[in-house]
Amino acid sequence: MSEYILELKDVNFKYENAPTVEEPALKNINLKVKKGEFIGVIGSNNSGKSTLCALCNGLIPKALDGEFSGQVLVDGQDIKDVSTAKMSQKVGLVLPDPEAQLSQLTVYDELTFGPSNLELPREKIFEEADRVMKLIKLENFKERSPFSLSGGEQQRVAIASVLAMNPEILVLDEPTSNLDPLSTQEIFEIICKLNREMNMTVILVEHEVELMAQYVDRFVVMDNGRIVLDGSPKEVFSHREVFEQIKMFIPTVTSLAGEIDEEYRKWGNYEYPITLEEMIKIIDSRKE
Amino acid sequence: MKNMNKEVVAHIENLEHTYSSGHKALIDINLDIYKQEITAIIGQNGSGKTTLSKHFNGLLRPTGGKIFVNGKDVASRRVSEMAREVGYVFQNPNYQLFCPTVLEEIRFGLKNLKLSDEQIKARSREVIEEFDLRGMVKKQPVTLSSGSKKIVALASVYAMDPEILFLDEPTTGQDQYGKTKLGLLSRKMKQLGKTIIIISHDMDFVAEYADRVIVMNESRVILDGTPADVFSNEEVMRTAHIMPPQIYAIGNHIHAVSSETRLSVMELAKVLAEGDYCL
Amino acid sequence: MSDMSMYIPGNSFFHKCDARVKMLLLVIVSIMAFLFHSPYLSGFLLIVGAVFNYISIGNRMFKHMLTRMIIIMMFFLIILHGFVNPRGETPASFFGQVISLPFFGAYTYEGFYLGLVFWLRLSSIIMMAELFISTTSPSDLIHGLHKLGVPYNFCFMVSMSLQLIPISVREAQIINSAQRARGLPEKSIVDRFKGLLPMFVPLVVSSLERMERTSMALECRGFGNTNNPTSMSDIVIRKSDIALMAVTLLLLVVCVVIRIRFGSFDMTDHLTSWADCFRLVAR
Repeated sequence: MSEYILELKDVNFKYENAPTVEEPALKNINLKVKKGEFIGVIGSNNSGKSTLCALCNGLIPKALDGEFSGQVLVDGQDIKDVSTAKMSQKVGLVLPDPEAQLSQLTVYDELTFGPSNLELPREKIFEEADRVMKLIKLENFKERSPFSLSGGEQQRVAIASVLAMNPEILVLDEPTSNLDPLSTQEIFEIICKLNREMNMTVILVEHEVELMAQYVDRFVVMDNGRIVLDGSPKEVFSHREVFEQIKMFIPTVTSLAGEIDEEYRKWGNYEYPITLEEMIKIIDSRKE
Repeated sequence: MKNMNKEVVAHIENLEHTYSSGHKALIDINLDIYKQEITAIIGQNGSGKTTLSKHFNGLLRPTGGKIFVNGKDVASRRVSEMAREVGYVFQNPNYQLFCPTVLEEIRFGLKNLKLSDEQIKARSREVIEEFDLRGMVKKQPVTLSSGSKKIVALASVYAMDPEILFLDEPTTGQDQYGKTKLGLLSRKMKQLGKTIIIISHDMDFVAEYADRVIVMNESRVILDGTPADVFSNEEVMRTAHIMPPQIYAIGNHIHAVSSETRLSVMELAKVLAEGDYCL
Repeated sequence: MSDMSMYIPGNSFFHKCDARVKMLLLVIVSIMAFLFHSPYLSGFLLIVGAVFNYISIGNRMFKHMLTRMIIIMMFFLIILHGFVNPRGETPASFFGQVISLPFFGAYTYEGFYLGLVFWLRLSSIIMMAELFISTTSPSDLIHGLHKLGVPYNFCFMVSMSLQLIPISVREAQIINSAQRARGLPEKSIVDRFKGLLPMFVPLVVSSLERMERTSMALECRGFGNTNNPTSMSDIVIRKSDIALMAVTLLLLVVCVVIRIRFGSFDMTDHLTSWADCFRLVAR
């Protein structure tokens, strides 16, 4: 039993044929994740975030070719000794395009698909499928074709189908980038629930920095294939120069606080807020 | 309305659209789009935004009411004809890009307009300069990054010199850098005389770049004004299920949103610093 | 989505019938339809098929694409065909008059007879196919194939293709709108032909990219781990299914025996009147 549920040690990876033109090589990646942590990964489009996701569940180097060095350990075990099928029971991966992740003819088939590939006995498979169906509230969609659902509903099915394999870590690569704000909010709430109520370790890659700041325990900031910042949200957003350099935004409330502090020296001793709630609390308390 | 003096480029009268399934996607829409403005149309999925936008170039026809672009009724004109006046950039650039090089992509629209070779060459050069595409001219569009694809798609539609440009969810999947680039390009095109209409879910983008925001909900227009007007109207925001950008959320909380066009971080910082507000 | 796959959900006898039994039924009916020349058996099969369809899907049967196909074919095979079949010799008498077309000649009994027989054969098969398709969900169909021994990978390919068709159609429509919005001319046939490339390339690129993403998603769900994933289908052959199979097989055997002993009841060379077309034995 390792202290860390996921560890990336000195990982370097260069694609032979990158799936999208934006993926750069990863250099010198070191990351330690404890069980139950909720990590947000942010960075511009060509920073290597998707590559990082594919590393976590063994897609790299098993399914995607390239030059790989370093070690990836899941629960203390090196992933190169484990098949991708077995890995899917430890680390679930959700991708950005909801529709492309669905291949079965009914939603229920989608939920039983993963476990059936693992050759689990039928009763167990029904158990798992029913469990995730309840968890993600998909009962009304059970017999429907996944392709008749909206984007948000499809992404919920994709998440559920990955959860049916019962992983301990859930990695989500921009799950809401193609979704409207309401569906985005829904997905974030589901992910948060999985983390808070079921102690699921979550690694979430997204652009929605302000939304993430409300939920994550820790931010990992990537740029050009490297990790440039790694720490609690407040720590990370205090490095405004780094964000300017890599052309990324910090939450508006944090910039606002910074402006009041630096331009007018009227901020006082408060910590810089990272969420709207925090800012409003501070404003209300200052007025008194 | 405030824009009494501005030229109208599109006029919509009692527009209705009912799909064959019976669903009323647009109910009694009355709007004018003004020249050289960046207008954003916002609203939930299913509010009618996309249906409305497709009426501008004839992809959809009204089942009631009329829409005029540059004074002429769109209903009697073909989509390919309308392309000269209304440029439509689809959300997924992959659906529009197909040529072997970026240059040919830009020329595609121009060839459809049946311009002479001379004119095509000159116009392509112009567009390449404006959009800073010189380094990519010989590249294959399908191999470009998603941000660059969006810009090439935009450039190729812009090349046809339409009066109005429609951008359908331009910032989907873009990082901050890409969004900023698109925003600045929109401003530039506006300065060059174009009218830009943007359909977007990205409230930060809309707040930053739009001159006017039209809010749709359940097939109707429920609010029409500047970003400040719209994002400070908490009731409408709730009805339309829209989350205003953080800056307006704070501005609303301290009742500090004036009826200027938009609130900036600097402005709000000043107000908060000087304590000149009430809760 | 359901309109593309032509499956209409329901709870009828045939909906609950095992997919394999229905497949067998279709095969048997196809054989029976071609056993005899006489219109009676195929006519009977067509009527039975129509009744089964009505029991299973009710009025939606009349809107079904296959029903429409049967009706369109009726026009071609009974009306048009009566004029054009080269074996036509005996002009047909409509209340004493003969109807003639300039290039093709008169409407003949042989033309009518052969057209009718052909139409009835085809239609009875199509009607049975409609029953099969509208009462069998694609999911059950695939499970049925797999249970019959078809390799898992093949079944998977079939089901993915079933999905891909409506997706590609939808994308093609969007791409078409997108290119028209760039001024793609839509007037002449030459224009439409030239318009194939701007349609084709984005569709292919988009499909390839999607396939790439789907294969990654499949990896994440353990696909390829085994050739024998746990079978999830509940389909079970009921007693009534066995009864249905038995009856149909019996009917088939009877028909084959009759065919061997008495021939195919082909009247084509003995037609001199409308009544002759519906006889079983020549005078």
